[in-house]
Amino acid sequence: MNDNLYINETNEEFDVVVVGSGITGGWAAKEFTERGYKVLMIERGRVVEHRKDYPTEGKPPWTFPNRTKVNNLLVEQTQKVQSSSYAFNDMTKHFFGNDRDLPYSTEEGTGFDWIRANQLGGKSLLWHRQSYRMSQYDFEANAKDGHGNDWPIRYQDLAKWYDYVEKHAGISGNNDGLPQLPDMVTLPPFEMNKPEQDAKKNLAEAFPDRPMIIGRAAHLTKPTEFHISQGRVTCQARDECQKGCSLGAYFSTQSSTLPAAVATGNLHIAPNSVVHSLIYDEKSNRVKGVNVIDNENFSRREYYGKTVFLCASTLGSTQVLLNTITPKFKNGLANSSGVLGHYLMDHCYNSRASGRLPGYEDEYYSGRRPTGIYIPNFQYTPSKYKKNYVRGYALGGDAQRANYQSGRWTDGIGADYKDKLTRPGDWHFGFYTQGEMLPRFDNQVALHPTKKDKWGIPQLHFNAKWSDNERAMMDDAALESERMLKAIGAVDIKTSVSYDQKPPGSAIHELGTARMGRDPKDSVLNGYNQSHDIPNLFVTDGASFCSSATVNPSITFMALTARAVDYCVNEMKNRRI
Amino acid sequence: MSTKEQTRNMTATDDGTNIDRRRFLQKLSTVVGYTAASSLLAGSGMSAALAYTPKPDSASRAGVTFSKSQMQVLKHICDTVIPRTDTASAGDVDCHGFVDHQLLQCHSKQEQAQCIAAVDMIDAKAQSAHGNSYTQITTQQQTGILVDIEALNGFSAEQKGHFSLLKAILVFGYFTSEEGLTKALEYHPFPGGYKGRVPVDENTKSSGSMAYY
Repeated sequence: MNDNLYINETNEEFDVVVVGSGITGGWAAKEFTERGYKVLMIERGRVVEHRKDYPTEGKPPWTFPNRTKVNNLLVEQTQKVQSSSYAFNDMTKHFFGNDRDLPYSTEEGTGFDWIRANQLGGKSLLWHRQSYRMSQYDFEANAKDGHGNDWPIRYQDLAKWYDYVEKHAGISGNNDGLPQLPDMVTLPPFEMNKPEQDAKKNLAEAFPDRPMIIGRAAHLTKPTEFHISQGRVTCQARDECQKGCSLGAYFSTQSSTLPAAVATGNLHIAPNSVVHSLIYDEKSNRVKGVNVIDNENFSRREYYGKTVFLCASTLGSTQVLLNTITPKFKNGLANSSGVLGHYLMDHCYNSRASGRLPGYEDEYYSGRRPTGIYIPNFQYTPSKYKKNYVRGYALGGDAQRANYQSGRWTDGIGADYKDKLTRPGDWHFGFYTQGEMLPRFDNQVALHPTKKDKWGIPQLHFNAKWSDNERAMMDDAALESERMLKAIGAVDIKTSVSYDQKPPGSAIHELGTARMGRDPKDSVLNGYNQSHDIPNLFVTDGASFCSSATVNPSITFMALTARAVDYCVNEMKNRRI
Repeated sequence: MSTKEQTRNMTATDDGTNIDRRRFLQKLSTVVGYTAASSLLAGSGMSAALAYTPKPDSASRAGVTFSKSQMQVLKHICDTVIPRTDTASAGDVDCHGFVDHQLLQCHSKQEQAQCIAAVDMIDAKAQSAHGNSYTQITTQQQTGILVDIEALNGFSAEQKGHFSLLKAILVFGYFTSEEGLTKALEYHPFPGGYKGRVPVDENTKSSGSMAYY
């Protein structure tokens, strides 16, 4: 490790400036440094060191001020938006942003839950770790049904890069041989419990087109020699993930990409550095670095690099581009197409269903499994679409036995009630929907004309909403989930849809706004995540997506980034950058 | 966490929890070394001082939400809902003190008012039905009132709703207390992975899972 990993002031021109330290930034830094390039990774927030800075890890509930619940004052005054996230609680709150520092606005009649994780490691510390490849059908969907622009790449372009990142990151799962869900480089899968095993069989008979598999997740079920050499060990199913895992049992920047990058001696990190905009030289048509405002004392500084990789999260990267105004790029850097900020997507999780599963009294499980069951999108190509909407959805879920958390709301007084709550309760089977959101020009972010944040950076203004397509999809998913629960044998089934309550953003899968494409007139990036307009500028996070597909996007961020670095290195060697 | 607190916690939960911990510590230390491994498992320095700590005398004075007399009634409600068996009662682990604290910290004014109304309603019922405070009537009479509330026997759905909220908070308090989580339930900080099939017998306890899945 080099002695001065963290830096503040420097005039050095780095080979590459990587903006962001989350899943994407970590990969960019690792790939460049391992190839011998000097990298400056810029992080707007504080340093979070692996193990040392996981203050709540392993703490039992009774040691928290409110037994893991968050107090009113905090929610109302500083983290109201953040607290809308399923992962937000008193044990994880320090990895979420402070709403007061991170204001944004939404168009009247619309909403957006913008979840922030501004620290070293970013959302890689908080992510849900579900890992699925996009399929050939996903890359072809826009071209086939005419929504959005055609992806400039196909599955085969990315396949070997998926292999590459999966091997490093460590993904548990089963290879199920499904056309809509490509096999991966996997570690052993987590087990299904007995009702899940039976449900898989029952569904295979009742709905042969809807295979149920165990969720694939970035957890080490059987670490390789390499993983162990990084200090990563087997997942203990503790459910400590989002507090930070000292075991390195799930993939995060801290556990996986950062140690690899640091080991090369080629990495420097500039923490507490809020990127205001990029430095652009019109004459050479190259970016030269970044303008930074200090997170804490608001002083200004610059960092220089021969190439810039924006890995600042979908909306973070787009905000930086929008806020870089030059005589040539009056509407945001690299925006000659005019589509920057447009085609914002998320996933639509607004349908769920659950029911009680009679029987199985003699079956239980042990440990807190960090994944569930998964039914991949079964409407993955136009011939399989429903009549009243396009595209499809995947279902996640699980079977589990009730405990005091639901039992406390049931009737009962006295010793019998106490006894009931201390024993495994009834089995329940539940599904939640992960629906594809169409890329629509109207769903966009722009800079607010007047409002700024405390660093003087114009705030983002959101204008995004669910379309009739997503609504129809969620209504259908609720009905289909109910049919499937009946086939599994569940009773007392309850379904709900929530698109009127939960706006886009809450899946924390922001995608699009600087999309790829073949035509520079209608896209920001080419098929290698390189700006059409400016050759030494790349955006490799979710901003580059042309469609959302139904799968969780993080493993694709990794593969796209590794591929983009490989391409960029080749371009640099051949002096085209 | 201070060494003293650590020692106290270690002693208090030395019943399987620490066997897990020790077994895992051995495995982990082969990878990262013993010192690193033990410091990992010790957690890193979050103060437990702010945590709601059970107090022996919550029922003998006014709380932050409830008056002194309401606290006394609430303690009896706690003991009625979760009585002492082979493990502690809710009153034994100061769930009344916890509810009083939690309502102020984490619940709305409206919810605070609903829980206060529930306590008053229960005491008033004891007076009207048995001519005495809820704290003075027999265990059987105490249980009867709460059962009647849930059965809507002489109580409205709204009144039941208020009681249900109060009950849900006190039950949560019980099973997240050290005693409730480690003794009444099965608590495994280091489960050693997930097993999908584990047999159940008459001694199997629910695991104190905080799991999302």
